[in-house]
Amino acid sequence: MVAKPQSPCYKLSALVRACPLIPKKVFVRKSAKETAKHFFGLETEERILGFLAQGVFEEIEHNNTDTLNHDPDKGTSFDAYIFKIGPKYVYFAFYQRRNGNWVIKSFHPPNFGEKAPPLTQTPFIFLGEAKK
Amino acid sequence: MSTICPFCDSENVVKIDITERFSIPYSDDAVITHKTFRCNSCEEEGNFDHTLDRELNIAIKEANNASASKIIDELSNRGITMTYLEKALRLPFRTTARWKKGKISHSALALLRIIRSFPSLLHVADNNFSHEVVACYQLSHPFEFLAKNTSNPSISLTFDRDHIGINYTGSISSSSTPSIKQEMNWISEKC
Repeated sequence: MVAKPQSPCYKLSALVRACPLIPKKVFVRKSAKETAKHFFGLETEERILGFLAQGVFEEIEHNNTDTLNHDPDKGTSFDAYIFKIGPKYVYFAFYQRRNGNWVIKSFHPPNFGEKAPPLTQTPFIFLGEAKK
Repeated sequence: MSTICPFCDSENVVKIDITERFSIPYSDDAVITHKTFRCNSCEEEGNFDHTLDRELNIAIKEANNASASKIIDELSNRGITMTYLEKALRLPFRTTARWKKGKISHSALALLRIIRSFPSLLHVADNNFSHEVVACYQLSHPFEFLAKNTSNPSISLTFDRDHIGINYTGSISSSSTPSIKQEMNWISEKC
């Protein structure tokens, strides 16, 4: 039996609306910041949130919805999407904490599938996945 | 009031200095040391309360603006004077003098970087982007032109001691046919 794919848990538009808010309501994990800078030239958290606040996601598709495995938000659902920025695809995952804050969990090229860049372009991502 | 980690709610948060490298086109990388928050519980780092972005953004902007002067010097060394650049791009004269002093907008810096990457675009601009000059420009970048206008490309190479040859065959899409015919006519007239 094949499990039915889970539909998104959050409204993406709610995240987009929260991005420009001060005091901050959206926080980007360090690893997501590093990959957003390295692969997409979004060099600071402010640039990432500024980009997301535009709400323009080309060819966006819901990729998966799952639950976090680690504390303190263990069991919280996250949504992951794939969309395009120019010629590049982005795997983008986020969730909302119980206190209402949003967390950007991932922002990197897709690791697998037809939208993933060729291995020759991202050997270290592949090595990182292989180590897990 | 202590800062709380937005990822794990810990109060074990400290302010630290970190050094980051930022790539600046046509200039040395900018190595910037700036303050950030670090959570000792979950090891996340970042601007947890929105107070620390300003100094980093100013440092990045200053590093980018400083690169304008280098680009202008490089273009001058290649024989492209700023007077020619201003004339070709229809900019007010003395604009680049302001750029050189670091008074340059994001869009102007992007334009300058594009010109530094593809100086021959100045010739196109200087001719007011006429169709003929654009066609000639495309002739000097044949693969870009062919890739844009054809599908199912097939490329073969020939090589001997004295000659190298490239044969490119592709199907012209019906929507491109009239414009390609026109551009090929201009190209054949010019060459």
